Amino acid sequence: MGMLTYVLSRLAGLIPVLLAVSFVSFLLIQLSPGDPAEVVIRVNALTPTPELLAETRTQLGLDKPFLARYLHWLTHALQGDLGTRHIDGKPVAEEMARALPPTLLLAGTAAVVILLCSIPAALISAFFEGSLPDVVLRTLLFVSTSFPTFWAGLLLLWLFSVHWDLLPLSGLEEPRSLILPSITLALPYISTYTRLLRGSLLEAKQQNFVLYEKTCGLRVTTILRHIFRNSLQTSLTGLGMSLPRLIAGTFVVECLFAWPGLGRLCVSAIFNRDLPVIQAYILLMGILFALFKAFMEICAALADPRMRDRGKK
Amino acid sequence: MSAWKALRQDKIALVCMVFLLVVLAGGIFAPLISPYDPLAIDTKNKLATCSGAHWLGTDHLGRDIFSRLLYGIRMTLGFSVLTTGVTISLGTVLGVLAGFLRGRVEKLLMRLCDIMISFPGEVLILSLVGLLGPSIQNVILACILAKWPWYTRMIRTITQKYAGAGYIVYAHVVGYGTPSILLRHVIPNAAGEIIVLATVDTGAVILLISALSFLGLGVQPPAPEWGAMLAEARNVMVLHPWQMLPPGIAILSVAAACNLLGDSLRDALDPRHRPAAG
Repeated sequence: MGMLTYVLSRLAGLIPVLLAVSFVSFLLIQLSPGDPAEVVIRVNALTPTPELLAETRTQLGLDKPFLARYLHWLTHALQGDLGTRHIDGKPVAEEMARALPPTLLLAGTAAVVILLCSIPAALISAFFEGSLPDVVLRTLLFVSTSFPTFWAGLLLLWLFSVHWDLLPLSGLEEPRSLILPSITLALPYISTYTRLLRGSLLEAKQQNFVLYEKTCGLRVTTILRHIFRNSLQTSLTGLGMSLPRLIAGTFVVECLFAWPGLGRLCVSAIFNRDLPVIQAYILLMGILFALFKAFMEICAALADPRMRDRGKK
Repeated sequence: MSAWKALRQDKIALVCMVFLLVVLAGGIFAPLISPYDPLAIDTKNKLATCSGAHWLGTDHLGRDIFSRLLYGIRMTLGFSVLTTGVTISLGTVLGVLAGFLRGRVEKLLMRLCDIMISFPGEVLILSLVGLLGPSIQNVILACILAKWPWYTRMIRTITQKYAGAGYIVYAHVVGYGTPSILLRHVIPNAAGEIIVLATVDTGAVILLISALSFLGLGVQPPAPEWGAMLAEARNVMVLHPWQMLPPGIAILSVAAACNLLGDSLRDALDPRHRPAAG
């Protein structure tokens, strides 16, 4: 099977998944307790009279059967219309489009921070196994897995923004505002990657080619480079797989640093009972996940042709 | 039992176990131990530092922080244990059923699990809380709904591993009914792995519940939940930063104890799993 056929078939396989995601995000909202028409009326600070309820229902199309409503919603969603916010009547799609880039920026920077921290940490930890730096690093990493993200963020915020007054307190006005949120977001992942990379480095160290190269008298740095290249692939795949989790997990950090991203948009929608925004959030996250998974699989297939057949069993 | 022996020799595991037991006891006997009412407001004494009267000082409303921490055990640890307990029971029942009965039940359950797992846990929990409305009951419900597929899948795999074993076939032949085989022979075998997962997961759920309460989506003030206490400490962060320390250290230490204990339990139950292997 050629590469192109593989990519095309993988992309075609996305269609049912995306449809399922859209259906789930529609269904969840339908299942939520409370009458949506009543919510709309209450959000606008009106008293729900029977006439007003009936009118709002017709307005929202709630009097039609379920499947008809789903198809109606889906055709609009495909045209980029995700409804309007209850609180101010602004189009949800526009708000989402505005909030997506900051979230991606935050998650992307965090991924870079993770790589920059975990690669050196894993190298030190693996090549000086059992030494003092290894033990110290592993203890630090262990503590960081149990560290509540929001507390770490608060402490960093206090230290750098309040006590030393070095970095901006919140928001996204200048590049410097990116520093604290991305470090906070990266913190719990650094230990996971260091452990992963350390494990695969230790495994690579045991392999035959290392012994062979040693007997051939190759320079230590060359051997180290080979070991590193061999184990890097595992951890890069691992990082790729959890990038979506990084994006999904931004909401705590976004709320803490008043970051104008998707997570904060969704959390404020939860407080306002603004169901269209929550629905759009579920939809967008589902789509991001599906796309990312397909992208990673295609990348893996490009790197290693054996992976192409793995999905077919 | 060799696992128990291995565990007893592991000093870290012992320390963690004793620590968690003390914390649990502190939560259970909070009304007897705590020097003050955790909700009693005393505005004359607000934001006091550590002293003989208030061991950890008082918060912005003059409430005793030590008493609030003690009652907070009931919230943070109590709700996490409750969540993990319900999730595991549900996962065990469904997983054992799927693994033992096979056929259509299994296919349906596993397909459902696959769909649930394809969504990231954080997104699922946040959206469920969003749909149901912010409150601690809904956070617990959302956690259970988001986590049961993981347990169901894991327990199904374990069950299948044992379902074909000789003694199970023998039990069938001798005439034991399926329920008693499941209860007496399958579940006890899976118990070790379930306990490991449950311990580590309790740590994760503590972090999650306190994070959601910190954002105001979980336990609502004035209830003394650790995450909610941190949210209140944040408001006075500029002038009284030490207020952030007690609840934060409490969350960190309990979550770390759960994680460490989980690691040790895994090593004790599975001798192949050596910590040195990474």
